[in-house]
Amino acid sequence: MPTVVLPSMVAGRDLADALVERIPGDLTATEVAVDCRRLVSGSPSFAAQLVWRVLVDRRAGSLAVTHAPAAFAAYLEQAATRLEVADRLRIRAKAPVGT
Amino acid sequence: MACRAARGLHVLDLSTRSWVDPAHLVAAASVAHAHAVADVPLRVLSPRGADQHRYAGRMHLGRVLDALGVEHDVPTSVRELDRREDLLEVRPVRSEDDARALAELVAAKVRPESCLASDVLYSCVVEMALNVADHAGAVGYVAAQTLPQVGAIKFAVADAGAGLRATLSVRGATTDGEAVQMALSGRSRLDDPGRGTGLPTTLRELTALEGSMFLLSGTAAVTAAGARRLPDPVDVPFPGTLVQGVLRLPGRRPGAVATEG
Repeated sequence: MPTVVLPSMVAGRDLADALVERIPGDLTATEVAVDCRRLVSGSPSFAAQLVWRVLVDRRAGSLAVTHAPAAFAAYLEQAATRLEVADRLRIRAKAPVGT
Repeated sequence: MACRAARGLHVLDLSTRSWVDPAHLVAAASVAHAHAVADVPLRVLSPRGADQHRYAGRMHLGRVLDALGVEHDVPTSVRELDRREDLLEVRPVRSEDDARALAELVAAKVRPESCLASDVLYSCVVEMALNVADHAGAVGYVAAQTLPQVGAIKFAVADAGAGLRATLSVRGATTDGEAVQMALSGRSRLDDPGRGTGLPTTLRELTALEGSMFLLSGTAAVTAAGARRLPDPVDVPFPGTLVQGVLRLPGRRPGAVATEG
């Protein structure tokens, strides 16, 4: 399964584009994994572009996100809802929000 | 903050300011940058008050103005011991990489205090700084500081670029006031459904931490918190866009936080 491993801080559409462009080949109907184990903070624009690039632009079958911090998971969900692809976004093992 | 012309020289006058925020510093840096690019002579008058004068120097406004070749009387020698409350001195944003790097710096300094505030700050600062890189067509400036007396953090991002009315004219904005309201409600000049979320998301996150946002573009300024929008008077139009956000560190005692000066 093609996997995108996110670094500790992610923001901006260019960075999302660059990470997704590293996945070779046709993604149509494929599940793409996003590993957020190292992620500390992510921005809404990065989340929106990641969802758009994978599920809309490259027509992946689904986007499976693991270990996402709660705020980043919420950005992904909001973006997927706006783009009408929420049924193809799967988020597992949300990390709790620290204070 | 007035910019006036006198005998062919433009003067940006901070001398009578009774307090100085990150917003004033980034606004001054942005205006100075625009003058430098246009090769129009500018003189910046530092705040006359001793504390405000020192603060402007401590936040490196003087060094930024030196780098731009702008005449000024802001101090440039800084006692680093005085800088514990200054999260980020005035720094330029020229690209997405700059936006990310500066937001990471601010977030890292706040993280020992609060993970939640650090995450929110990262998201807010980077989104606002990315807007400069995406839309303004100009170099922007960022600054941030803590307000320990009220347990809060302020950050500001400004550019003297296109401004919201010019950016959103393709969406029907005909006045600065309309453009400011459209930007806060998530309208973007771009068609993609994922666009335009930066300002509303930033406002929502600041509000969740008992904060607020001040947005100034052209002749229109609004202080927003949740669904509340309070118009602010604008004495001198700002040639571009300025955002100042305030958030409270979780668990700190409540107190009044000024959002605009």
